[in-house]
Amino acid sequence: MTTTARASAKTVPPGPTTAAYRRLLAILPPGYRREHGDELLDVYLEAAGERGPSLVDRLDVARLAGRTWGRALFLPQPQDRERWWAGTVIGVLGLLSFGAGRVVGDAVLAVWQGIRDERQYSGLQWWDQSWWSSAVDRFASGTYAWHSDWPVWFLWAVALILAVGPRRPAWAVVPAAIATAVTASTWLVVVVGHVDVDRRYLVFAAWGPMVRAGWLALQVAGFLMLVATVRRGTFLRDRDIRALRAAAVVSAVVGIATGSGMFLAWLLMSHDHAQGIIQVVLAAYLTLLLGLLVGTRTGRAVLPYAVPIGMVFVLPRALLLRVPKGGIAWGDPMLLPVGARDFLSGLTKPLALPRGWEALPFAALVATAAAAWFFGLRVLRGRRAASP
Amino acid sequence: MVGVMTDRVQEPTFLILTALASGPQHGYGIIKDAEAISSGAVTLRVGTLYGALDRLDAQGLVEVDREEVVDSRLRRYYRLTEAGSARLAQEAERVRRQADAALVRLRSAGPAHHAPGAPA
Repeated sequence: MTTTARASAKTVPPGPTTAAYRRLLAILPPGYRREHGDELLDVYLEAAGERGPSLVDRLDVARLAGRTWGRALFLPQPQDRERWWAGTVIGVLGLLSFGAGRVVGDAVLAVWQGIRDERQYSGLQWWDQSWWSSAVDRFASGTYAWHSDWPVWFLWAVALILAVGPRRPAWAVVPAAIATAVTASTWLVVVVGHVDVDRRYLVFAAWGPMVRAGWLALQVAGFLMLVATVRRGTFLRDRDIRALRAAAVVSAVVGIATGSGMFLAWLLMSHDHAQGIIQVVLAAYLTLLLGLLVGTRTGRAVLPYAVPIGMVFVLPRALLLRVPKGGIAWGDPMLLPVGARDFLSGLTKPLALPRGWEALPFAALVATAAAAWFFGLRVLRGRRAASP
Repeated sequence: MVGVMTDRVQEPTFLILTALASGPQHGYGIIKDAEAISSGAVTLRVGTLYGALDRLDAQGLVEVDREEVVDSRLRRYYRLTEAGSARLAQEAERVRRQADAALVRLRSAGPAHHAPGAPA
């Protein structure tokens, strides 16, 4: 806040009540305390008279401290906040559109393949080869089902279409809330179920293709975005909303073009180049994202936040590469060719930690690397802003 | 300011804006005024007040008016900005319309729908 006539600081005379409130206010972030400490002290003393801080006062200050520390540590500088908010909403909802696009595209393909199979094997029993049972088997329930988590992504598709559309009803948060709750509970059940088993498979469970901690983190972020935008009315404006729609459409199209089922469609068109086509599309998409992150002011505002989210997706893959191939990469975007996966798998073997300890140090490594990037970048930016 | 506020303001925020509508006030003055405006129904906590003031300041709806030292204590006064006055007027008009609609319907529904204790 700007002040028109600043009085001298440290104006409150010492006394036991004053000292007690000063100690209580010491839990606020230093910057906030410098700006508002004496003022808050005045209000508390005026309200309290001669009595010391009550339990309600302590809880009140603790709540204010939680909010102000959260803002001081994690929110961008005030001048960057508008760009940061726009970039975060565009990025998170755009990436969720990619996830939803893959599943919805594969669903359409599964139905098409089911109908084709029925025509091909029309002499068989109906329960074996009706188009819908074949499609469901491929898509959701069979041994090599493409997407067992399809209800979650269909709900997200509904939420995203509503959120980027012209009307943006407040109830768009409902399908997103259900989807996020289902993903979170599935993730917890799977991870908790592995705690007492081989810890190596705990990492696999946490970041495995079916539950995916990265997608869970994105879904939680996306749900919070929707609550803040469509429900509380702080939506994007003008150019930003056009950018959001473009990001959602492009991401959904890339998702559709690179889904697990779409791989089969590419195989039909070009057996030799199917995987290459998907890798080129994904690499172009990633290059576009990186270019926007580094090359635009909005992208640079969200860059510190993008990397920790990216780490949740990418780093555990290095560990998962050590687990025998099988179904590990099943359902993941096919960015790496099989040969590269084998090469990386070989590289990670010498770095092996004892199995029982693997999950904890790896989680610590991810958290430390993300924190070092995030806070390191903030410090650098703060110094640059402070220098003449 | 980030985005466009299209949603209604929360009750504590409405009371803070209302308390500042008649002129600049300091923190404790806003708390007492909000209590009086709500006929004692709402007592703002200091943390709630300053959380709301931070947000309203970021949205350009309030600003610092001046600082004074009273009884050796720092006292900061806040005032509504033009945008804050407009937002409060818009919200007050919305609340008034809804209250009017409620009263009209209650009257047209007859005495059975009057408040408990009211004469039939």
